[in-house]
Amino acid sequence: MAGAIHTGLLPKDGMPDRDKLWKLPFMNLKSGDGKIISLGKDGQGDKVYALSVKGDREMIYRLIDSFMEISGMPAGELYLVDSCAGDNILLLAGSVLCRSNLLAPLGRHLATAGIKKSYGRLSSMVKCSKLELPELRV
Amino acid sequence: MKIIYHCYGGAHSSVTAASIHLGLLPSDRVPGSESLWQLPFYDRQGNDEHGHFFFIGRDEYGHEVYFTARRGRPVVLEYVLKGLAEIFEIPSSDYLLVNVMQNVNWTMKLGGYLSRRCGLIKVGRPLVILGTRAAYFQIADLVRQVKNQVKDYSEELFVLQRKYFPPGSFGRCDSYRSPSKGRHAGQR
Repeated sequence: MAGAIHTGLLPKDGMPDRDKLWKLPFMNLKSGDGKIISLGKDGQGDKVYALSVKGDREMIYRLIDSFMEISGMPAGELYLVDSCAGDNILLLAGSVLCRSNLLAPLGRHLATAGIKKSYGRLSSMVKCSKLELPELRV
Repeated sequence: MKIIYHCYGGAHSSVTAASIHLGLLPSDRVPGSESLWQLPFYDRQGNDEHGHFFFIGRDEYGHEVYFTARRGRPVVLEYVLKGLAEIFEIPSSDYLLVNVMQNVNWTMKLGGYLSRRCGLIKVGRPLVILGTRAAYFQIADLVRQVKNQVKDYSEELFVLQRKYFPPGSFGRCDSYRSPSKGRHAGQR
């Protein structure tokens, strides 16, 4: 969602309608652990992606850094931003329940409440990230 | 090509496989415990290094050989690397992920847990070495398959992620019975 706010797929000043939110193609809480999803480009032409991982983030950071290094990619080519979504209990509970076909409607309800709770924080985080990017390009 | 052997903790089976690949360990017999102890990376990696790719050397075909730990998430490793390769237009034939975890037996798991997780090296390390020696030929077979496939590699890539090999069992390696099919008994 942070990536979608960054590229304008989601509004930065408030959460969209629930129906519109769940129609977005990347709103899949059932699976996708480890998959990198493209969210388009921002206004400066930077490509934005989303990556969802469970558990230890540090291991994934090391994995990404290592792969970049052995592939000869410059360090400044990739900027990782942690959305810190792991501490949102409603969103976590919603994503767990969404895996079950029977409990999916309840899961979406909880997930929507969790998204609403963290939307403002995500929007601020995206704003800060955008301000930091020009310094990284130098 | 970059050949990346991976397992849960990056301390035992992947290190063994990578070492066999580079000839640091023999492929036709089970090495002694000292040979495994003396490997620079065997039973050394800590939790705070999981995910890091350790370069161990180049093989006779010029391929770079690495090993890494990915805990219980081989699919995440595959997805993340595949995603990064697509983003940066790295050809998929540039790297090969080899899952060594299928060859890990319970002795190795217990020994690795005691040594790496609990810090009981004096108990865990001999146990994991015992398990490694029991599974040694399975690991060597996997390495042999990898080498056969990469020596003439083209743009088509084989990802040996989910190929199943029966894990080695305690007390069933050729050190304890007559070697078969041209193998040599290992040292004890």
